[in-house]
Amino acid sequence: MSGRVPLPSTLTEGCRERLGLERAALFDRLMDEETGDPHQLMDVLREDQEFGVALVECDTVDSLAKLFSENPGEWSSEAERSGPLGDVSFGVAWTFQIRHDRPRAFNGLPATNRKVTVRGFTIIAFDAESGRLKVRRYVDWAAVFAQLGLTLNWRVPVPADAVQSSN
Amino acid sequence: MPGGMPFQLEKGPIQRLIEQNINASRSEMRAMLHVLRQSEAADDIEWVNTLLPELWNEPAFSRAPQGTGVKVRDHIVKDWFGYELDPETGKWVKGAGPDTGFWLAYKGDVDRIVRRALRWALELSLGVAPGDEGPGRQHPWQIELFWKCLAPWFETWVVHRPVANSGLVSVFFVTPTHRGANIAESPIATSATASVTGVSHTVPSDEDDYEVLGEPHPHDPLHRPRVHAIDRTHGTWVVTHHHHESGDVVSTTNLVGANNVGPTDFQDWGIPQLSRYHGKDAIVVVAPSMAAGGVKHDGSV
Repeated sequence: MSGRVPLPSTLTEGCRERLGLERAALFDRLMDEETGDPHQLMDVLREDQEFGVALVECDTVDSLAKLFSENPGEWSSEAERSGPLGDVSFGVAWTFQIRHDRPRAFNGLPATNRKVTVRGFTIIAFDAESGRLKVRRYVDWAAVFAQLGLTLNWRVPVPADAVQSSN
Repeated sequence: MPGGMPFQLEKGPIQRLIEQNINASRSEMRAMLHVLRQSEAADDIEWVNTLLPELWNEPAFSRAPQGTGVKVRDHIVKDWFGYELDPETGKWVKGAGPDTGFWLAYKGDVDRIVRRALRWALELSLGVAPGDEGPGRQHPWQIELFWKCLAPWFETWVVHRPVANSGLVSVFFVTPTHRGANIAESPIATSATASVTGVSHTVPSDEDDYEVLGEPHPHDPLHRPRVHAIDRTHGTWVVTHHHHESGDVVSTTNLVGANNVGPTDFQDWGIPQLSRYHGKDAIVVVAPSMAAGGVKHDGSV
């Protein structure tokens, strides 16, 4: 297990509250850098859906909320679209609602005071190469940008060689 | 204007032709103002035909991608103003689609914006307040036109100031981007013509009167430029890096890399920032060719 960085190295207090004492202790034990077993933790998450959902909630809320507000927002999952995936993964479909009232936290934007709904699907999987649990997040960022009133620049910059090759 | 532009600011042949026609005698400009004022009540597209009736017969339109002035006019009515030809009546009617004309992600009354802006420009030029039928000034101020792309929505700016014993009214059409629009990463000409076979958008060309300030013309250094830059009566110059390059297709605030989905560690993620452009090499001062959205040195078409 040398060189492996636990996931996460320490749970935040908010995360411990979401997991509960028993699951937080289990998490700490299985993620211990010296004696832990992330692969076994993955098995636990696949069997205990509430545990997996709570872990995804930690990953989502603690990272996203600080981009929008001092307030925590409201996170919810879709149980019917969450659960084990493939042989080594666990997925959660989720929705996060929060008001964008924190200035400059979201790429420097002034607070828009708009209520924003963020939708995503998160996959936690054991990564054999690194020996760690890794997280993939498929987030509907285009909808987030739209709710904030942002627009895309729909002009594609064309490099000179693209034109020369057409000549 | 008829074929899009490779730059962010354009004059080009169409707007230059409109300038040449709209800057007419005082009586002719008063007649134009009358057309626009009358069109406010009618609220139809007929003013495009009656404002400058001779404009669309200009032979110079034969060099436009559309080939004739009438086709350029129809392009403006359809793509800029969002009208559609009613197959039963053969008349232009305002389109009902989610976007106006060929603008992307924008719905608005471009026809009325342009009409109101041109009316106000003419009123400023003639020195008459809205609704005022008085004589105004003896010598109308010059009107000039530019197209600035891109913006979230369509605006037209009318900017005026005194110039010597007269004045200047500058009209800026600030527009969203449109279907098929591209932009050149470099202002340096890459083609002998702005329209290239097989390329759907115009490109920087070294036609008249393209010039990179302080550098010889790429093909005819003995005879070009035809006049020194400082002696040009007309010019539109862009000052920017020689070219631009995009960084990662997608990068995130926590520098995860080009893959915004992951995999990453727990709580290790941020906002996708899309492309980030980097200005590269020296700062250049470039006058685009008229065909690519610039002007000829003497303002001719």
